[in-house]
Amino acid sequence: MNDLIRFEKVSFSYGTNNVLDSIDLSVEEGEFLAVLGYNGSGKSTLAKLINGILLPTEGKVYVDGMDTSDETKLSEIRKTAGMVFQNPDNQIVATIVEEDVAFAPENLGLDPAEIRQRVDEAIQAVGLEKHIKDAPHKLSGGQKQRVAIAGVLAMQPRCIILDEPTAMLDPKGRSLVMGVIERLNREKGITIILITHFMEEAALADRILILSDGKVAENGPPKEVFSRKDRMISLGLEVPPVTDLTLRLIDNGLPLEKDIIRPEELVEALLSIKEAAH
Amino acid sequence: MRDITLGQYINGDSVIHRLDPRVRLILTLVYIIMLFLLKSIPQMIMALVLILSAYALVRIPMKMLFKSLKPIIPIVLFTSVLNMFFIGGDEVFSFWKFSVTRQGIYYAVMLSLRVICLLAGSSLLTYTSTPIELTSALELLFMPLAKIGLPVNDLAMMMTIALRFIPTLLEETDKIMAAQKSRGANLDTGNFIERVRALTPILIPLFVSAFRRADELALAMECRCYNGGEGRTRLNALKIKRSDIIAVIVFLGLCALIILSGRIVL
Repeated sequence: MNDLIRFEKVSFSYGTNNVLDSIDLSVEEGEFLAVLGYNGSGKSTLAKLINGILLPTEGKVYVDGMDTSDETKLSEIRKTAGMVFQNPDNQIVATIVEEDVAFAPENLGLDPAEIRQRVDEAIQAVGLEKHIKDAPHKLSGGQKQRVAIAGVLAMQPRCIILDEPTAMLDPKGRSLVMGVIERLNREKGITIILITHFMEEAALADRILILSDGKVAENGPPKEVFSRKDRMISLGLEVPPVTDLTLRLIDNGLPLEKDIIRPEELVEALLSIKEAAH
Repeated sequence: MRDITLGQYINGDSVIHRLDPRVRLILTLVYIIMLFLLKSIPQMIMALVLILSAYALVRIPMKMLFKSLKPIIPIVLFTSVLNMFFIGGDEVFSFWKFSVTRQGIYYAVMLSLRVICLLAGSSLLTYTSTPIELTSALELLFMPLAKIGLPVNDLAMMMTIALRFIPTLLEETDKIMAAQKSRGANLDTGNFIERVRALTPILIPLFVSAFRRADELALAMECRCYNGGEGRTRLNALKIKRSDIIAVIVFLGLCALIILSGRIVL
């Protein structure tokens, strides 16, 4: 097994408040995992356990075989698993885009020529070439969040954890950021762990993990998880809007499959029904 | 979104802009020290010509210079007048109990010229350097002090972050003010004490949010492998170029000439 990230019976509590309860989880290299759960279900805690910001109260977390409680490995672990947070304003350090992206490689003590190359690559990967010399506070929310992603990319991590990266963005910024995340996964093979409360974003993942009361409630491919609307609602969640629409169409007698989770799929299915009718 | 410019940096591509910020900083210091070594009005005028030609080189309109001189004019006039009256020597004219002396006038002119040059010189530094450039220049210049335990890297990082967050916090202040006004807060009327008191509901949320931001930023920095300044490298490391060396030689030469000219003339 090629597990990049492994949780072994991980529990976490703040004082007497149990946030996570005996979680087992493994994420393969190159996988795109979405983590869902209502507010307070322990999603963010799970994310912070991965790169050693928090340490489990019980159990072990491994990143590429390294134990996160081993302090000597911490830098290596954070280089392997980068993290992007919700508020882009609070993770940009420098006053110029390229200098912010250079922050992590500078911390790693790389050669200026190597830093330059990494910065250029990272900025290109998120499509901000035009803004390389701009001041971050003049960018839009979506652009700032892409700067933050580039800042993590410049470490050349194998895994990126994103903690609700689109929660504060407008729809356009959201779709651009999601586009970048998907491309990094498909084209660069970077493992993605996306914490989100947007079901349509989770639908893009290979696998969905749903947390409820600090336990894993569901763990499976999006099609499987989202096709059970009642279960989703009982977990305090929804299904993607397009799945909801599909289920209503089925109720109204259209011969559709229940596991449609992306708008393109529904369009295709509807077109084929139309063709069959002719 | 507002366009917030920090300091008084004027974007440009002059010879002086292209100098290493460390060189700019040190030459400014040299110039200021020189001003205090000069002893005669002709020398002072030469110093003034030197700084004005630097302004011409950067193509900063004289209007800007006058603007930065304006606030100190009353102080200069006041001290000049005082000096005129209270320095003893050969009397030029007198009225009532006061007498104006030749030495007094001479000293007053010297003082005014010196203050004008001082301000023109330091303004030139801030016109041609961004705050970030100055920060990294100071960081590198103070680097030797890191050996005796001064956290130079950390201080520079704090400065950079402070500069980075000024626009963000200004924006936030606007938002909080709007939010409090929409709930009926009265910020613009009343006497001084009432207005200061009205600031409390703005400052408290501002501080709370600043602390929250600081917390998140620290986390994000840790996630990007920041653990203090040690072993950090730089994307755009400052390098002394040939043009910097030439500028230093030329400028030091001119300063020496001005200082020495005093000896020859007197």
